Amino acid sequence: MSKFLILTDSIGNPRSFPVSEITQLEETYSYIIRNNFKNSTFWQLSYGNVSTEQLFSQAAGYLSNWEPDIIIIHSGIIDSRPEAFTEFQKTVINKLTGRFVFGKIKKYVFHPALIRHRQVYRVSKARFRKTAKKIKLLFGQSKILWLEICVADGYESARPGANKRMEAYNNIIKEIYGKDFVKIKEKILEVDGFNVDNLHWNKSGHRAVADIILDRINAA
Amino acid sequence: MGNQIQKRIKGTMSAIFNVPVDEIDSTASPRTIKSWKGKNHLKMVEALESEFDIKFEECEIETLVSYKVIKATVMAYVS
Repeated sequence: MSKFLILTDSIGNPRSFPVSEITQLEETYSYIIRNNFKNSTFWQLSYGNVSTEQLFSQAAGYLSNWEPDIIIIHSGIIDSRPEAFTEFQKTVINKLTGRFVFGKIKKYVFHPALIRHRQVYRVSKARFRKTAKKIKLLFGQSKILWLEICVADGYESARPGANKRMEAYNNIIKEIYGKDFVKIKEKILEVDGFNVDNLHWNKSGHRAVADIILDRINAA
Repeated sequence: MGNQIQKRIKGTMSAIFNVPVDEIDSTASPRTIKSWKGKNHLKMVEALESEFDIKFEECEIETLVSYKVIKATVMAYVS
């Protein structure tokens, strides 16, 4: 019997839209993994639109004495992707304009030309490196698998500069986790596993990633 | 380097909580150190930031409730 800790951003969650690409909870990669280790204990936190540090803070606060055998981390796109405004600036714009007007100007807040011009980041490389190191230091006895930060090729046009940033952040993970950095993009593309938003995954994507992780765990 | 950092963390915590350094062991937490509460927690955070010239992230502060987490967090900043 093993103990699993799974930390993911929104990509680890089921997906209810678009209708053509609905992914049920049972079809997500973490659930497929659970089904392969029925006698094991799982603790999973999947939370959208938070940085890796914010996600990890929950586990650090509550689980530092739990000592999981296997940790799967799937986070980094929020840290790395370019934005036009900081979160604080977005909140101010939202408050100043009200929800209705903000809805109308939202398309400008997320406009690719503005993102290309401003290139604001939520988490610096140094802060991301610090968080990645901390996870390893705190859970030194655990096998930690960190999934590649990846999106489909079309994402770059919505978030100009995303590919370059992701590469840099993936390099940080590789530098700290070595062979426990898990490459997944190629396989997801092979099975046409990205959702139409070029970020989340459909059930084929989840299945492909589950298979990669299961192979890694079984080979360990 | 790791031992030096641990010594400095323990020294800082010991001074803030007013307990002997050897009471700050790997299991130290508000459960084992009675003075580790309220304002003292924030004083410890500030003292660690000052000792190591770092600035914790807002979401990290509430996680710093055991020596184990504090050690990993500080070492991630300075190593």
